[in-house]
Amino acid sequence: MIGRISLSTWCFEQYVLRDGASLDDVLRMAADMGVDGIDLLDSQIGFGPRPSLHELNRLRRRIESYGLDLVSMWFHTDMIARSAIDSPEAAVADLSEYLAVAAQLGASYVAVQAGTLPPGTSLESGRRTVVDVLSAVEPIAREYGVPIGTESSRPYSVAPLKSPELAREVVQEVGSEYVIVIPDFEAWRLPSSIPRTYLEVEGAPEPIPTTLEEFQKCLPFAPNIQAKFLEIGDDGLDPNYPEESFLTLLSESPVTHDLTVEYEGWIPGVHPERDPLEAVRAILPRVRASRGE
Amino acid sequence: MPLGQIDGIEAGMLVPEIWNARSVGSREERGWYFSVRNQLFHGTRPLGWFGWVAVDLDGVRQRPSRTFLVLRNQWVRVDQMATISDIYWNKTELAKVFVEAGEPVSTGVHSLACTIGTSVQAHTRAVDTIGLKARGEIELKADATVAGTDRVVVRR
Repeated sequence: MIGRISLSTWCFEQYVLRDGASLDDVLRMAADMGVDGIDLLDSQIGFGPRPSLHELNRLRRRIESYGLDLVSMWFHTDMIARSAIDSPEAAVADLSEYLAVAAQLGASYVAVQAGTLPPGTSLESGRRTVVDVLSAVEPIAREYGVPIGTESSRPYSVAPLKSPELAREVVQEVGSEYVIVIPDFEAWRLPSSIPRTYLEVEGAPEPIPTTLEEFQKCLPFAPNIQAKFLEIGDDGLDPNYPEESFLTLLSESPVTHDLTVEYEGWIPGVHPERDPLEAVRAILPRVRASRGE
Repeated sequence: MPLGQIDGIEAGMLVPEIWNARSVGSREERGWYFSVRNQLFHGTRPLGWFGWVAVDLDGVRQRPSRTFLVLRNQWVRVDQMATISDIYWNKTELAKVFVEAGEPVSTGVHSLACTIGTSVQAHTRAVDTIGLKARGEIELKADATVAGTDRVVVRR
């Protein structure tokens, strides 16, 4: 079943970077769409390295004033890199603080990323690091009542640690409702002419999309889904993903899934000339229909 | 990003204006500055993530030991950025790049290039001091005009 429908503020990042839109402008855009909530990026919660507690409290009230839930917070992480450069304890400390920030803001979930394998690091070693970090963070997530999940946004053939398969294995090994999988449609991208932004090597083989069977296997561990969209076809569907299958599986799932719409067609190389607001308006009816509206 | 593409929105990052200025602090230095806005995707990063900045004026590389990235009145020499983990350049924030120079930049249009280091390392708080991940750079170019002379910037 699809629960809340939220918008990632990433949908409107072009307005922020190119046009100077404020966070309030973005919140207003999301509120005007009539969605239940938002997904907020770490770069939007105040000046680094650490946000002001007072500013976090004011931000929470601002989000609530627009009638929006803060469904999730997204932090840019690489647990493998942080562990190697500094220590696994540093990775645990970062994630613990992110959970505290998310709890202070009233977020329901925290989305992070496992990372990619540095040269000379085995997949098993990387996987073990992710399991160890998330196992150490689990009591913190439980204390704050905020599940933490690894955004699985890459096919296994490209980045196994960011794949749904491995995310699910890790979550099953940790074995807690506070450590979840966050499937991102991007891991299931179909071959198309739109460049893969993460393929930095010319001539790299076409990634093998994750299977729908794997999507179904992830659902019991995935109360939050990142629904990536790049473009909208004439039929109202995004041809880059098996969107109709996703929405059908989600609507039939016995688990309630909060769906975060993440329109990314605005980035250079995709369709920067298209208005993100119009694109999101075109996406939402299809998503709402899957919720029975 | 695919090879050759910037991981952000390049247009508008480099403000094509040069200001001749004096920096007033423990000593007075003459120089000039321009501004750069951080428009990188997920761009809120510690200065060590960027690692370095290089400036070319009319094809001449400016001395890193006399070039500073100035954020919220914090002056960091561009060849000493690599270990900075607690000073962040936030997304959309405007930074000054100040070049100490004995002579002002002459009026007119000048070829300005500002190259900024980047890293593939994604974890926001980690500064890659061990060379774990590949590094890159962004080169910003503009024909810049001298917008004013003899501004005073306080550096204390």
